[in-house]
Amino acid sequence: MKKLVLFFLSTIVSIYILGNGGPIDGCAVYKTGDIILINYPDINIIKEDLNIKIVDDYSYVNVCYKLKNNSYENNKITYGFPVDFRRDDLHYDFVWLDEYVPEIEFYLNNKSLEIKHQVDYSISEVKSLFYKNTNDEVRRSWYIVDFEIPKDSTVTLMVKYKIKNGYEDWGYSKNFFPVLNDRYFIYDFSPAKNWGDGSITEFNITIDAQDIINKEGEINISGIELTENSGIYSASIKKFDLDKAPDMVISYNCNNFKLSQYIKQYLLPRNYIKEIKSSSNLSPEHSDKNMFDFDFNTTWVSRGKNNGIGEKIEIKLNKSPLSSIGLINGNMIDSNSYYDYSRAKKVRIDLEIVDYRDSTKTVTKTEEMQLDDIKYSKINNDNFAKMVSTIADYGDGFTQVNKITITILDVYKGNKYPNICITEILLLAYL
Amino acid sequence: MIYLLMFLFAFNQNIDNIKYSLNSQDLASSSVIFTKTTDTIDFYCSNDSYWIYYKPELKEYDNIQNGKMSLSKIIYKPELITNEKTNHIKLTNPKPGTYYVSISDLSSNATIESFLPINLTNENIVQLVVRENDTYIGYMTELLGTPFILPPKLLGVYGHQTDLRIGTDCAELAIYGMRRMGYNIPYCGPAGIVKYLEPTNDLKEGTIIHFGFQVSVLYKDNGLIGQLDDQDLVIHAYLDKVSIDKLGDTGLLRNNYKLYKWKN
Repeated sequence: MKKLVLFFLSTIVSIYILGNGGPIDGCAVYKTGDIILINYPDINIIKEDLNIKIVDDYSYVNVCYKLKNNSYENNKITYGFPVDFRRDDLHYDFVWLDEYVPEIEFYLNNKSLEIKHQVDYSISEVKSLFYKNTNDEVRRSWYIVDFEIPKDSTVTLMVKYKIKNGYEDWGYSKNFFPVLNDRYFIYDFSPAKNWGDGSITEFNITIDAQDIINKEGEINISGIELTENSGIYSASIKKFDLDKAPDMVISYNCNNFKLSQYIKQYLLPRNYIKEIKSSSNLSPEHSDKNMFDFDFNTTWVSRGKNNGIGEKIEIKLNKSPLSSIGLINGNMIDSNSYYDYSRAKKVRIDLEIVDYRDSTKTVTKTEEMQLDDIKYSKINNDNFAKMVSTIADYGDGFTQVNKITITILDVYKGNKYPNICITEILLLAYL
Repeated sequence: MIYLLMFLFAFNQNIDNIKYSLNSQDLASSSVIFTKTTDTIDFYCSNDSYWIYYKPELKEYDNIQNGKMSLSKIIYKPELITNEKTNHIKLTNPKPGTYYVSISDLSSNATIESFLPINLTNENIVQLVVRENDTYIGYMTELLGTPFILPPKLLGVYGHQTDLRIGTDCAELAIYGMRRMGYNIPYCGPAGIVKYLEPTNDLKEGTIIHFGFQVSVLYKDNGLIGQLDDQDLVIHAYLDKVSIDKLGDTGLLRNNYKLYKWKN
């Protein structure tokens, strides 16, 4: 969340940039849940072990039911496993996509069961996940299996599936960076409420969210009380009342990680940069080249005049596309170094843009940008977006640039040294 | 609170239901009327009332706030059509665009603020949709005067804000024209629209002019025929609204662009 604020609080001054947007990625899955007993024989759930592992945009679910047939005859049983999906902007056609549940398997006493899949095209309404006062349309997709439980006996039914969690990411032409929204996994216990006495004798749940934690993401789980240990959430409940149990809602994001990957994906290759020149370098080890090596352990340090105010960095390109410029301020080696040296507070960016009517000529565009004073936080090559300040954002467009000049107009003064440091300048473009 | 005020206002103006006829043919009551600029529309109510338009305040409504998707409320202000009470008004040769026609006793001329379609969520507000003709460009003219929404969104069961003519952005306007012609193209933004397009050098009405950050559609090829120039007219969602502009007045020609046509 902190990172998103970082990107979007920056004021962008541009008369050219207008906004238009559209969904860029998402999944329409709304919720999944316990299996439904379709033909209602006298079956009790003695035990349910529900294990969920969240990795990136997917949940890997392994649920094991111990079922007992309490009747006096063998029962042929039909079970349906429901997945509800929404109509959303990206999936306006409202049809089921196999990518929502790319893997699913049923096992009865470790023996694989044949699965029938069908989609119920009737539409029902649910409260919108994203907006108040609106309802979403949902349809239900069914995975159905048939099997038999002999009279007065117990079987183990295991369902393993990989499901894409629900989300909507948006891109819009005013900004280079996408709008990443929370991912949702909703588990509905109520489908199983008609079994036996409507409760599960023993219910165990484990949610492995280590991938989210490792990616410095945020996670929230509601609907069930869980204890957490190193990213593993768990609970054991006796006589779990399916009728009263609310939906379990897992919402999470890994926005810092995802935006870091996004930046890496669109980083202008180094060979596009023809020349780098700065107004001063403290030493060859602290030269301006360090700002373009994608190594956060190296930094550019100015010679130490006026805390860096007035220093200039010139980047020569050759008709290169350019959508955005990011900057990792200060000396990122450690917290002390970060605060000991000055950091850019206000910069001017002068662009020499190729005149599309006559490519031998250029037009100049100038912007000034105020940078937030971002609190130091350790970064690595996979998680660094939280420390990136956007100093220019040209959104979508076909602009070609020959030269960028960045001038330091003001600084956050260092605690110890008169030099300014910049760890990285990130030139971003759609190639 | 706003919903309560909207309800009270709706209750207050609930004089009777608006009825209407199109070219002297009575139509079944509906919250939307589709017409052309050559049509005549008669609106009736049983008691004399003031007739008003609810006009959207034209500006960029941002559905992305603080880096998160949200829904921005569109502001609609009442504007008198008649200065005296009457039970009938006649609109002849209306200009293309989307209008909200309503009746009022003027005891309360409350502004409506809503991201939902006001003709579907308030009594006695009819959406009058006027197009120039049945061509691609003609259908796009239905959105003239609607506000810019960045980006327009699906409102759950109500439908998409552009399909509902609440407002739109540039690529969605271009897609709206195709959807109204029966093509099932999803609203997908200026980047997404490209997969439904193919490059062309043939500049004519309906040609998509893609500036990367902005999509405009050629409305009329003025100036040098077959060449994009500052005399050409474009229809587009631009700045605060959907409008037809002389390209030279927009500043867009300072930018590089690509020409596209819709794939067959």
